[in-house]
Amino acid sequence: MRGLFDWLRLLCAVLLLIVAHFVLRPLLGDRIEINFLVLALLVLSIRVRPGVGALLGLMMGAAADAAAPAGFGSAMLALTLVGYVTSWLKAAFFAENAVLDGIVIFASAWGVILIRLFLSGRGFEAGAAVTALVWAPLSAAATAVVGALLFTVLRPLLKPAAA
Amino acid sequence: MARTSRTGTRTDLALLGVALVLAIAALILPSGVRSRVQGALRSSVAVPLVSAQAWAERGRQAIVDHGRLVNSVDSLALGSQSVEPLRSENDRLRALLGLGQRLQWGFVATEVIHSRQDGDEHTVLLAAGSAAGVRPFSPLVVPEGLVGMVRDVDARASTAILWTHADFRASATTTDGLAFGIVAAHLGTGADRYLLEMRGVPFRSALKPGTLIVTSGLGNVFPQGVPIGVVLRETKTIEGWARTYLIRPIVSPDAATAAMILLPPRAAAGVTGAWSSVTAAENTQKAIAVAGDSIIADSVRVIQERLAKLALLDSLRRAAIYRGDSGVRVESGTSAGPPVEDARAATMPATLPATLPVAPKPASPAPAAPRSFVTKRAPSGVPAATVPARATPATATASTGSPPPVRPRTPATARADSLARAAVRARAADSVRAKSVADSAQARNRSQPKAPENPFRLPPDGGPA
Repeated sequence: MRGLFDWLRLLCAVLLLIVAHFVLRPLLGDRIEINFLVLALLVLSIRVRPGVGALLGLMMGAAADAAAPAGFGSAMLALTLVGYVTSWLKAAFFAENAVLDGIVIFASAWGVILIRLFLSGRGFEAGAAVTALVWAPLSAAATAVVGALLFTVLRPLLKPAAA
Repeated sequence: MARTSRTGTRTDLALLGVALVLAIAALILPSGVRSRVQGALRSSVAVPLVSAQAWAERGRQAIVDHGRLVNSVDSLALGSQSVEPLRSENDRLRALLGLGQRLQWGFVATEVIHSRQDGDEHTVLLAAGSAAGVRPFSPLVVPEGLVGMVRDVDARASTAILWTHADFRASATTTDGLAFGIVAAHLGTGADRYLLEMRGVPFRSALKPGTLIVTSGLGNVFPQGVPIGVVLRETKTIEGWARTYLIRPIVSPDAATAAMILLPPRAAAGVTGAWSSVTAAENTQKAIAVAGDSIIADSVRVIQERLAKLALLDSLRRAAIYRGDSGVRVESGTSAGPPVEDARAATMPATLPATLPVAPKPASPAPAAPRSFVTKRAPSGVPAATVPARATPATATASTGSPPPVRPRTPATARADSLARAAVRARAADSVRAKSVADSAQARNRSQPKAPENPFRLPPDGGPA
């Protein structure tokens, strides 16, 4: 019963982050975007096996690609890799350390942006370098800051029950 | 334990492989198939997400549009602030072009640069100098009228004094040329500082407020007919040998940002017709005012005459009513003029009724007496006028056999009696005058010698001649 309640809280938090990704992110800015979908995937992937994390990443990527006008499949591939890797490395990275959490989130978000940028064909256009090296790190940093704060605040709620 | 871990790892790798295959398959799908898959996702499981994203995009677009609209409104407001000055400057330049077309030759268009330093506000810098033909004392004009006069000239620029300068003088006159004077700055305090004075106007020339003052052309500095201002009022001066008038200038010195310098040949040749619209409007205004005054005076005179006649007739009727009669009658057989009723009808205005309402006869305890007329014959054959008999106790007793009621004599009745007597006397005097003229004519006829009779005419009875 306790485990079900924890999963319900976790699902509510994930749903809120997914909704925030589609509702709040467009309102926050054009250049620097906070990727709430990566945060939701990280929240889930640290609690599941790497394979399940990969499938969750695939589903979230499909949702992201459905709402994107171009580059269908790029988000699926990027989030699949992020879900698998973060789930595989959860023991190492998701300790009680906000800075470490932030670094993982930063790397994940930047990687997602880079993968989507190059797989969607926009990585070879004019201005792609600026996007990849300036705006993408800034967006990843913003995502990392928000994620670190979120994990610090919600850690008591999202902490899985002791086995 | 290790076996379980290896099995899990294999499962994870298998799931990862499936996910990667699906993702890569989505990436390498043909565009048509990819679009259909994407559309199916949008219309099925991703509907809430896509709708939420579309709503958010609209909200963001609204925010961006709001900012853009605010910027546009700010830009328009900022632009509208500069529209009015540009419009007025455009109007001034158009008017200046019109003046140039009327002048046709002998002028230099120049920009007027005002100095904002204290003590130098009555002098302006002009962007034209001797190279353009400008000479000292050249008039500086704008489409409305006179602005000032060039004082110093350089090769490329010159300075001019405005009419507000203490040294400014101009010989001026009215548009009809009946009054002359010298126009100078008023040098008053406050708002009066920006008025002009017209000094030395002869006492016989009284100028009405609103009279247009133009340059007279005397002195060979300003050509004749350039408007200067309009008369405000007369001011008292200590000289006392001439009139001085305050003039409201037509041209505001600050508004003159572009002007024309009349070159000496043009000033000498005159500018007839260049400001004709202003003078024509002044003359038209005067004519309308004079016509209106005469019409009003005639109307007032006619109304006064008619009111006097009506008052006289009403007095006569009132006097007759008080005497128990309905009016004054003149015997038609002996009178030279029409009866009073006819005369009254003749003098009544067409819009008024021929007879005035008669006041009710005052109630009297005695029975109504028959009409009693006393015929007064004026000496020397004056036509008889029949007037109601004065209600003396003797006549009343003789006619009715009973004493008439005694009516108190009030100031109103006394005035009515006097007016009636005056009317009768005036008519009698006219008749006497007419009679005397006729008598004198008959006397002249009698005094003239008779014409010689025809000796060859036979007597009427046929007897011997």
